[in-house]
Amino acid sequence: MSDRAAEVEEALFFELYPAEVLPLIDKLDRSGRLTEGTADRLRRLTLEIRAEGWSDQAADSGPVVPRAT
Amino acid sequence: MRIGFDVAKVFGPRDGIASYTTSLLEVLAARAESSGEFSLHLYAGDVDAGPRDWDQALGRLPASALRHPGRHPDRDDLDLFHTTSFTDTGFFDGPVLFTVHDLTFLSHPEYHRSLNRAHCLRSTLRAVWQDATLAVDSQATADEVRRWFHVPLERMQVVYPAASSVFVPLDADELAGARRRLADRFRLDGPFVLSVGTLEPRKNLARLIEAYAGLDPDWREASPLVLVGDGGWKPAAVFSGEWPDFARRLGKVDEPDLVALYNAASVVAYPSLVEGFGLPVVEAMACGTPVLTSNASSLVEVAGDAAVCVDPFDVAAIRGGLEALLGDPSLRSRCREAGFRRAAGFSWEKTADQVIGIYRDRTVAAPERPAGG
Repeated sequence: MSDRAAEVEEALFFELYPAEVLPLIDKLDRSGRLTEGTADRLRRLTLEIRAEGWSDQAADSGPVVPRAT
Repeated sequence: MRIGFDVAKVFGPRDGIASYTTSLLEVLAARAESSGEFSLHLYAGDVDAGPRDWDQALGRLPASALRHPGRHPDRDDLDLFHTTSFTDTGFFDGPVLFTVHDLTFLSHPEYHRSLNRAHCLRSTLRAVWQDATLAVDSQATADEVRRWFHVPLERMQVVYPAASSVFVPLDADELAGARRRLADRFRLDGPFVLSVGTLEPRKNLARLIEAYAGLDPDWREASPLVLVGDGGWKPAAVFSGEWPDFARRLGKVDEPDLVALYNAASVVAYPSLVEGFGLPVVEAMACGTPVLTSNASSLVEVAGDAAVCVDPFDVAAIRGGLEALLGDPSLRSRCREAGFRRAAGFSWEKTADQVIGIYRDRTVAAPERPAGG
Protein backbone atom coordinates (compact mmCIF):
# COMPACT_ATOMS: atom_id res chain seq x y z
CA MET A 1 0.00 0.00 0.00
CA SER A 2 1.36 3.44 -0.88
CA ASP A 3 1.86 6.09 1.80
CA ARG A 4 -0.95 8.08 0.27
CA ALA A 5 -3.32 5.12 0.31
CA ALA A 6 -2.39 4.40 3.93
CA GLU A 7 -3.14 8.02 4.84
CA VAL A 8 -6.53 7.85 3.15
CA GLU A 9 -7.31 4.57 4.89
CA GLU A 10 -6.36 6.04 8.25
CA ALA A 11 -8.48 9.13 7.62
CA LEU A 12 -11.49 7.00 6.78
CA PHE A 13 -10.86 4.88 9.85
CA PHE A 14 -11.16 7.92 12.11
CA GLU A 15 -14.21 9.23 10.29
CA LEU A 16 -16.06 5.94 10.60
CA TYR A 17 -14.82 5.17 14.10
CA PRO A 18 -17.68 6.74 16.11
CA ALA A 19 -20.30 4.95 14.01
CA GLU A 20 -18.68 1.68 14.98
CA VAL A 21 -17.92 2.33 18.64
CA LEU A 22 -20.80 4.46 19.90
CA PRO A 23 -23.40 1.68 19.41
CA LEU A 24 -21.10 -0.67 21.32
CA ILE A 25 -20.94 1.80 24.19
CA ASP A 26 -24.75 2.03 24.16
CA LYS A 27 -25.08 -1.76 24.33
CA LEU A 28 -22.60 -1.99 27.20
CA ASP A 29 -24.42 0.79 29.01
CA ARG A 30 -27.82 -0.83 28.60
CA SER A 31 -26.48 -4.19 29.77
CA GLY A 32 -25.14 -2.66 32.99
CA ARG A 33 -21.48 -3.34 32.30
CA LEU A 34 -20.31 0.25 32.68
CA THR A 35 -19.78 2.01 35.99
CA GLU A 36 -21.64 5.22 36.69
CA GLY A 37 -20.61 8.04 34.39
CA THR A 38 -18.47 5.80 32.21
CA ALA A 39 -20.79 5.78 29.21
CA ASP A 40 -20.59 9.55 28.85
CA ARG A 41 -16.82 9.52 29.32
CA LEU A 42 -16.43 6.83 26.68
CA ARG A 43 -18.63 8.70 24.23
CA ARG A 44 -16.59 11.85 24.78
CA LEU A 45 -13.32 9.94 24.35
CA THR A 46 -14.62 8.38 21.13
CA LEU A 47 -15.39 11.76 19.62
CA GLU A 48 -12.04 13.13 20.82
CA ILE A 49 -10.28 10.26 19.10
CA ARG A 50 -11.92 11.14 15.81
CA ALA A 51 -11.08 14.83 16.17
CA GLU A 52 -7.51 14.17 17.31
CA GLY A 53 -6.99 11.60 14.59
CA TRP A 54 -7.67 14.32 12.11
CA SER A 55 -5.41 16.83 13.82
CA ASP A 56 -2.61 14.21 14.20
CA GLN A 57 -2.79 13.60 10.52
CA ALA A 58 -2.90 17.29 9.69
CA ALA A 59 0.17 17.84 11.85
CA ASP A 60 2.00 15.03 10.06
CA SER A 61 1.13 15.59 6.45
CA GLY A 62 -1.92 17.75 5.96
CA PRO A 63 -5.49 16.54 5.54
CA VAL A 64 -5.88 14.04 2.75
CA VAL A 65 -9.64 13.66 2.75
CA PRO A 66 -12.13 16.49 3.08
CA ARG A 67 -13.54 16.42 6.56
CA ALA A 68 -17.17 15.46 6.86
CA THR A 69 -19.22 18.15 8.56
CA MET B 1 -8.26 -27.99 24.10
CA ARG B 2 -7.68 -26.08 20.88
CA ILE B 3 -6.26 -22.69 21.85
CA GLY B 4 -5.94 -19.87 19.33
CA PHE B 5 -3.16 -17.45 20.15
CA ASP B 6 -2.83 -14.01 18.58
CA VAL B 7 0.69 -13.43 17.26
CA ALA B 8 -0.02 -10.31 15.19
CA LYS B 9 2.25 -8.13 17.32
CA VAL B 10 5.34 -10.30 17.03
CA PHE B 11 5.75 -9.16 13.44
CA GLY B 12 5.93 -5.47 14.36
CA PRO B 13 8.38 -3.38 16.37
CA ARG B 14 9.90 -5.13 19.39
CA ASP B 15 7.88 -3.17 21.94
CA GLY B 16 6.63 -4.24 25.35
CA ILE B 17 3.60 -6.11 24.00
CA ALA B 18 5.69 -7.95 21.41
CA SER B 19 8.16 -8.94 24.12
CA TYR B 20 5.35 -10.09 26.42
CA THR B 21 3.70 -12.10 23.66
CA THR B 22 6.91 -13.81 22.62
CA SER B 23 7.92 -14.69 26.19
CA LEU B 24 4.54 -16.16 27.08
CA LEU B 25 4.18 -17.96 23.78
CA GLU B 26 7.51 -19.73 24.16
CA VAL B 27 6.48 -21.20 27.51
CA LEU B 28 2.97 -22.06 26.32
CA ALA B 29 4.30 -23.80 23.21
CA ALA B 30 6.68 -25.88 25.30
CA ARG B 31 3.83 -26.81 27.67
CA ALA B 32 1.54 -27.74 24.79
CA GLU B 33 4.29 -29.93 23.36
CA SER B 34 5.18 -31.65 26.63
CA SER B 35 1.74 -32.08 28.19
CA GLY B 36 -0.45 -32.68 25.16
CA GLU B 37 -3.22 -31.06 27.18
CA PHE B 38 -3.86 -28.43 24.54
CA SER B 39 -2.89 -27.58 21.01
CA LEU B 40 -1.68 -24.12 20.13
CA HIS B 41 -2.90 -22.44 16.95
CA LEU B 42 -1.17 -19.22 15.92
CA TYR B 43 -3.07 -16.47 14.11
CA ALA B 44 -1.93 -13.06 12.90
CA GLY B 45 -5.23 -12.01 11.34
CA ASP B 46 -4.69 -9.87 8.28
CA VAL B 47 -1.13 -8.89 9.18
CA ASP B 48 0.91 -8.88 5.99
CA ALA B 49 3.62 -11.39 6.94
CA GLY B 50 5.14 -13.92 4.59
CA PRO B 51 6.56 -17.36 5.39
CA ARG B 52 10.03 -15.91 6.05
CA ASP B 53 8.56 -13.42 8.52
CA TRP B 54 6.83 -16.29 10.33
CA ASP B 55 10.04 -18.30 10.39
CA GLN B 56 12.03 -15.36 11.68
CA ALA B 57 9.51 -14.42 14.37
CA LEU B 58 8.38 -17.89 15.44
CA GLY B 59 11.00 -20.29 14.16
CA ARG B 60 12.08 -21.27 17.65
CA LEU B 61 8.68 -22.68 18.51
CA PRO B 62 8.04 -26.41 18.19
CA ALA B 63 6.32 -27.58 15.03
CA SER B 64 3.31 -28.60 17.10
CA ALA B 65 2.45 -24.89 17.41
CA LEU B 66 0.33 -24.71 14.28
CA ARG B 67 0.52 -21.68 12.05
CA HIS B 68 -2.54 -20.18 10.36
CA PRO B 69 -1.29 -17.16 8.40
CA GLY B 70 -3.56 -14.73 6.66
CA ARG B 71 -6.84 -15.31 8.43
CA HIS B 72 -8.84 -15.09 11.62
CA PRO B 73 -10.14 -18.23 13.30
CA ASP B 74 -13.74 -19.36 13.16
CA ARG B 75 -15.67 -20.66 16.16
CA ASP B 76 -15.43 -24.21 14.84
CA ASP B 77 -11.63 -24.01 14.69
CA LEU B 78 -11.02 -23.39 18.38
CA ASP B 79 -12.21 -23.80 21.95
CA LEU B 80 -10.77 -20.43 23.03
CA PHE B 81 -8.97 -17.47 21.49
CA HIS B 82 -6.33 -15.57 23.46
CA THR B 83 -4.99 -12.14 22.55
CA THR B 84 -2.24 -10.29 24.40
CA SER B 85 -2.18 -7.48 21.82
CA PHE B 86 -5.43 -5.53 22.22
CA THR B 87 -6.75 -7.17 19.07
CA ASP B 88 -10.45 -6.65 18.38
CA THR B 89 -11.84 -10.17 18.84
CA GLY B 90 -15.22 -9.41 17.31
CA PHE B 91 -14.48 -11.99 14.61
CA PHE B 92 -14.53 -14.87 17.13
CA ASP B 93 -17.82 -16.18 18.44
CA GLY B 94 -16.44 -18.25 21.33
CA PRO B 95 -14.64 -17.88 24.68
CA VAL B 96 -11.95 -15.21 24.67
CA LEU B 97 -9.05 -14.52 26.99
CA PHE B 98 -8.10 -10.86 26.64
CA THR B 99 -4.88 -9.72 28.29
CA VAL B 100 -5.13 -6.12 29.51
CA HIS B 101 -1.68 -4.61 29.97
CA ASP B 102 -3.09 -1.29 31.17
CA LEU B 103 -5.99 1.10 30.67
CA THR B 104 -3.89 4.24 30.30
CA PHE B 105 -5.51 4.85 26.92
CA LEU B 106 -8.63 5.60 29.00
CA SER B 107 -7.20 7.04 32.20
CA HIS B 108 -4.38 9.04 30.57
CA PRO B 109 -5.34 9.52 26.90
CA GLU B 110 -2.86 12.35 26.55
CA TYR B 111 -0.02 9.80 26.66
CA HIS B 112 -1.20 7.91 23.58
CA ARG B 113 -1.42 8.38 19.86
CA SER B 114 -5.02 8.68 18.76
CA LEU B 115 -4.71 5.61 16.51
CA ASN B 116 -3.49 3.50 19.43
CA ARG B 117 -6.28 4.84 21.65
CA ALA B 118 -8.83 4.00 18.98
CA HIS B 119 -7.71 0.39 18.63
CA CYS B 120 -7.30 -0.24 22.37
CA LEU B 121 -10.66 1.32 23.24
CA ARG B 122 -12.59 -0.60 20.59
CA SER B 123 -10.99 -3.94 21.40
CA THR B 124 -11.45 -3.54 25.15
CA LEU B 125 -15.11 -2.59 24.79
CA ARG B 126 -15.62 -5.60 22.53
CA ALA B 127 -13.89 -7.89 25.04
CA VAL B 128 -16.16 -6.69 27.86
CA TRP B 129 -19.21 -7.16 25.63
CA GLN B 130 -18.07 -10.68 24.74
CA ASP B 131 -17.70 -11.59 28.42
CA ALA B 132 -14.04 -12.28 27.80
CA THR B 133 -11.91 -13.25 30.74
CA LEU B 134 -9.55 -10.35 31.41
CA ALA B 135 -5.99 -11.22 32.41
CA VAL B 136 -4.58 -8.01 33.88
CA ASP B 137 -0.90 -7.32 34.43
CA SER B 138 -1.24 -5.98 37.97
CA GLN B 139 -3.66 -5.30 40.79
CA ALA B 140 -3.38 -1.60 39.90
CA THR B 141 -4.70 -2.42 36.44
CA ALA B 142 -7.47 -4.57 37.92
CA ASP B 143 -8.50 -1.62 40.10
CA GLU B 144 -8.50 0.62 37.04
CA VAL B 145 -10.68 -1.85 35.11
CA ARG B 146 -13.22 -1.79 37.95
CA ARG B 147 -13.32 2.01 37.83
CA TRP B 148 -14.69 1.74 34.28
CA PHE B 149 -16.41 -1.63 33.95
CA HIS B 150 -18.57 -3.99 35.96
CA VAL B 151 -16.64 -7.21 35.41
CA PRO B 152 -17.69 -10.33 37.36
CA LEU B 153 -15.06 -11.61 39.76
CA GLU B 154 -14.62 -14.84 37.82
CA ARG B 155 -13.96 -12.89 34.63
CA MET B 156 -10.80 -11.10 35.77
CA GLN B 157 -7.49 -12.36 37.13
CA VAL B 158 -4.20 -10.64 37.91
CA VAL B 159 -1.61 -12.47 35.82
CA TYR B 160 1.79 -10.94 36.38
CA PRO B 161 4.33 -11.01 33.58
CA ALA B 162 8.05 -11.47 34.28
CA ALA B 163 11.49 -10.62 33.05
CA SER B 164 12.79 -12.72 30.22
CA SER B 165 15.21 -15.43 31.32
CA VAL B 166 18.03 -13.63 29.48
CA PHE B 167 18.14 -11.02 32.25
CA VAL B 168 20.57 -12.51 34.75
CA PRO B 169 23.49 -11.20 36.79
CA LEU B 170 26.80 -11.58 34.96
CA ASP B 171 29.81 -13.05 36.76
CA ALA B 172 33.02 -11.03 36.97
CA ASP B 173 34.46 -12.25 33.67
CA GLU B 174 31.17 -11.79 31.85
CA LEU B 175 30.78 -8.33 33.34
CA ALA B 176 34.26 -7.34 32.18
CA GLY B 177 33.31 -8.53 28.70
CA ALA B 178 30.05 -6.61 28.88
CA ARG B 179 31.91 -3.43 29.81
CA ARG B 180 34.26 -3.88 26.85
CA ARG B 181 31.26 -4.39 24.60
CA LEU B 182 29.63 -1.18 25.85
CA ALA B 183 32.88 0.75 25.45
CA ASP B 184 33.30 -0.49 21.88
CA ARG B 185 29.73 0.00 20.79
CA PHE B 186 28.62 3.06 22.73
CA ARG B 187 31.84 4.63 24.14
CA LEU B 188 30.54 3.88 27.62
CA ASP B 189 33.57 3.16 29.76
CA GLY B 190 32.61 4.31 33.24
CA PRO B 191 29.68 4.40 35.64
CA PHE B 192 26.29 5.48 34.37
CA VAL B 193 22.64 5.59 35.30
CA LEU B 194 20.34 3.74 32.91
CA SER B 195 16.81 4.56 31.81
CA VAL B 196 14.96 2.02 29.65
CA GLY B 197 11.70 2.73 27.85
CA THR B 198 10.16 4.24 24.77
CA LEU B 199 10.93 7.95 24.60
CA GLU B 200 7.42 9.21 25.20
CA PRO B 201 5.85 11.66 27.66
CA ARG B 202 4.54 8.94 29.99
CA LYS B 203 8.10 7.87 30.86
CA ASN B 204 8.70 11.20 32.59
CA LEU B 205 12.14 11.75 31.13
CA ALA B 206 11.91 15.53 31.36
CA ARG B 207 11.73 15.36 35.17
CA LEU B 208 14.41 12.67 35.30
CA ILE B 209 16.74 14.86 33.25
CA GLU B 210 15.93 17.88 35.40
CA ALA B 211 16.66 15.83 38.52
CA TYR B 212 19.90 14.56 37.04
CA ALA B 213 20.94 18.11 36.21
CA GLY B 214 20.74 18.86 39.93
CA LEU B 215 23.21 16.16 40.93
CA ASP B 216 26.78 16.92 41.93
CA PRO B 217 28.49 18.27 38.77
CA ASP B 218 31.55 16.04 39.26
CA TRP B 219 29.35 12.94 39.31
CA ARG B 220 27.28 14.13 36.38
CA GLU B 221 30.42 14.87 34.40
CA ALA B 222 31.79 11.37 34.89
CA SER B 223 28.52 9.45 34.75
CA PRO B 224 26.09 9.96 31.91
CA LEU B 225 22.39 9.30 32.08
CA VAL B 226 21.98 6.64 29.39
CA LEU B 227 18.57 6.50 27.70
CA VAL B 228 17.61 3.34 25.85
CA GLY B 229 14.47 3.01 23.77
CA ASP B 230 12.72 3.88 20.58
CA GLY B 231 11.49 7.42 20.25
CA GLY B 232 9.52 9.53 17.92
CA TRP B 233 6.19 10.44 19.45
CA LYS B 234 5.68 13.97 20.80
CA PRO B 235 9.43 14.64 21.14
CA ALA B 236 8.74 18.14 22.40
CA ALA B 237 6.71 16.69 25.25
CA VAL B 238 9.42 14.15 26.13
CA PHE B 239 11.98 16.88 26.62
CA SER B 240 11.49 20.39 25.32
CA GLY B 241 14.92 21.92 25.86
CA GLU B 242 18.27 21.24 24.30
CA TRP B 243 19.41 17.76 25.29
CA PRO B 244 22.16 18.15 27.89
CA ASP B 245 25.56 16.56 27.32
CA PHE B 246 25.06 14.16 30.23
CA ALA B 247 21.98 12.58 28.59
CA ARG B 248 23.17 9.94 26.13
CA ARG B 249 20.47 8.55 23.84
CA LEU B 250 21.34 5.12 22.48
CA GLY B 251 18.01 4.49 20.77
CA LYS B 252 16.86 0.91 20.52
CA VAL B 253 19.49 -1.69 21.43
CA ASP B 254 19.57 -5.44 20.91
CA GLU B 255 18.99 -7.88 23.74
CA PRO B 256 22.65 -8.74 24.51
CA ASP B 257 23.43 -5.02 24.72
CA LEU B 258 20.48 -4.48 27.03
CA VAL B 259 21.63 -7.26 29.34
CA ALA B 260 25.11 -5.70 29.36
CA LEU B 261 23.66 -2.25 30.07
CA TYR B 262 21.50 -3.45 32.97
CA ASN B 263 24.44 -5.27 34.51
CA ALA B 264 26.94 -2.45 34.09
CA ALA B 265 24.66 0.38 35.25
CA SER B 266 25.11 1.83 38.73
CA VAL B 267 21.37 2.42 39.02
CA VAL B 268 18.33 1.97 36.78
CA ALA B 269 15.98 4.96 36.95
CA TYR B 270 12.37 4.37 35.88
CA PRO B 271 10.23 7.17 37.34
CA SER B 272 7.37 6.60 34.90
CA LEU B 273 4.12 8.48 35.50
CA VAL B 274 1.86 5.49 35.00
CA GLU B 275 2.31 1.85 33.99
CA GLY B 276 0.31 -1.35 33.87
CA PHE B 277 3.26 -3.37 35.16
CA GLY B 278 6.80 -2.04 34.61
CA LEU B 279 9.00 -4.68 33.00
CA PRO B 280 12.24 -2.65 33.21
CA VAL B 281 11.94 -2.74 37.00
CA VAL B 282 12.02 -6.54 37.19
CA GLU B 283 14.55 -6.82 34.36
CA ALA B 284 16.95 -4.58 36.29
CA MET B 285 16.29 -6.46 39.52
CA ALA B 286 16.91 -9.79 37.82
CA CYS B 287 20.31 -8.44 36.78
CA GLY B 288 21.08 -7.28 40.31
CA THR B 289 20.96 -3.56 39.61
CA PRO B 290 19.40 -1.16 42.14
CA VAL B 291 16.23 0.56 40.93
CA LEU B 292 14.67 3.94 41.43
CA THR B 293 11.05 4.02 40.37
CA SER B 294 7.70 5.68 41.04
CA ASN B 295 5.51 5.27 44.06
CA ALA B 296 2.49 5.29 41.73
CA SER B 297 0.30 2.96 39.67
CA SER B 298 1.62 -0.59 39.30
CA LEU B 299 5.25 0.34 39.89
CA VAL B 300 5.15 0.37 43.66
CA GLU B 301 3.26 -2.95 43.56
CA VAL B 302 5.91 -4.51 41.31
CA ALA B 303 8.91 -3.02 43.12
CA GLY B 304 7.67 -3.86 46.62
CA ASP B 305 10.32 -2.90 49.17
CA ALA B 306 13.16 -3.76 46.81
CA ALA B 307 13.54 -0.34 45.17
CA VAL B 308 13.65 3.32 46.07
CA CYS B 309 10.18 4.61 45.19
CA VAL B 310 9.57 8.33 44.76
CA ASP B 311 6.84 10.73 43.69
CA PRO B 312 7.35 10.90 39.92
CA PHE B 313 5.93 14.43 39.73
CA ASP B 314 8.47 15.75 42.27
CA VAL B 315 11.84 16.54 40.68
CA ALA B 316 13.46 17.03 44.08
CA ALA B 317 12.24 13.59 45.18
CA ILE B 318 13.68 11.97 42.05
CA ARG B 319 16.98 13.76 42.62
CA GLY B 320 16.95 12.75 46.30
CA GLY B 321 16.35 9.13 45.38
CA LEU B 322 19.22 9.16 42.90
CA GLU B 323 21.54 10.79 45.45
CA ALA B 324 20.59 8.21 48.07
CA LEU B 325 21.28 5.29 45.75
CA LEU B 326 24.44 6.68 44.20
CA GLY B 327 25.88 7.87 47.51
CA ASP B 328 25.11 4.92 49.76
CA PRO B 329 26.76 1.58 48.92
CA SER B 330 24.85 -0.21 51.68
CA LEU B 331 21.51 0.95 50.23
CA ARG B 332 22.56 -0.26 46.79
CA SER B 333 23.57 -3.59 48.31
CA ARG B 334 20.23 -3.96 50.10
CA CYS B 335 18.34 -3.09 46.92
CA ARG B 336 20.42 -5.57 44.94
CA GLU B 337 19.68 -8.47 47.31
CA ALA B 338 16.03 -7.57 47.76
CA GLY B 339 15.74 -7.06 43.99
CA PHE B 340 16.91 -10.59 43.25
CA ARG B 341 14.26 -11.98 45.61
CA ARG B 342 11.59 -9.71 44.17
CA ALA B 343 12.36 -10.55 40.54
CA ALA B 344 12.40 -14.27 41.35
CA GLY B 345 8.77 -13.94 42.44
CA PHE B 346 7.79 -13.28 38.83
CA SER B 347 8.33 -15.97 36.22
CA TRP B 348 6.87 -16.84 32.85
CA GLU B 349 6.31 -20.38 34.14
CA LYS B 350 3.96 -18.96 36.78
CA THR B 351 2.33 -16.75 34.18
CA ALA B 352 1.77 -19.78 31.94
CA ASP B 353 0.35 -21.79 34.88
CA GLN B 354 -2.30 -19.15 35.42
CA VAL B 355 -3.05 -18.71 31.73
CA ILE B 356 -3.48 -22.45 31.21
CA GLY B 357 -5.74 -22.52 34.26
CA ILE B 358 -7.94 -19.91 32.57
CA TYR B 359 -7.92 -21.94 29.36
CA ARG B 360 -9.22 -24.93 31.36
CA ASP B 361 -11.88 -22.94 33.19
CA ARG B 362 -13.23 -21.25 30.10
CA THR B 363 -13.31 -24.32 27.91
CA VAL B 364 -15.02 -26.53 30.49
CA ALA B 365 -18.08 -24.33 30.71
CA ALA B 366 -18.39 -21.89 27.86
CA PRO B 367 -21.36 -19.59 28.57
CA GLU B 368 -23.90 -18.30 26.12
CA ARG B 369 -22.71 -15.16 24.38
CA PRO B 370 -24.84 -12.14 23.68
CA ALA B 371 -25.95 -11.90 20.08
CA GLY B 372 -24.29 -9.39 17.78
CA GLY B 373 -21.54 -7.00 18.78
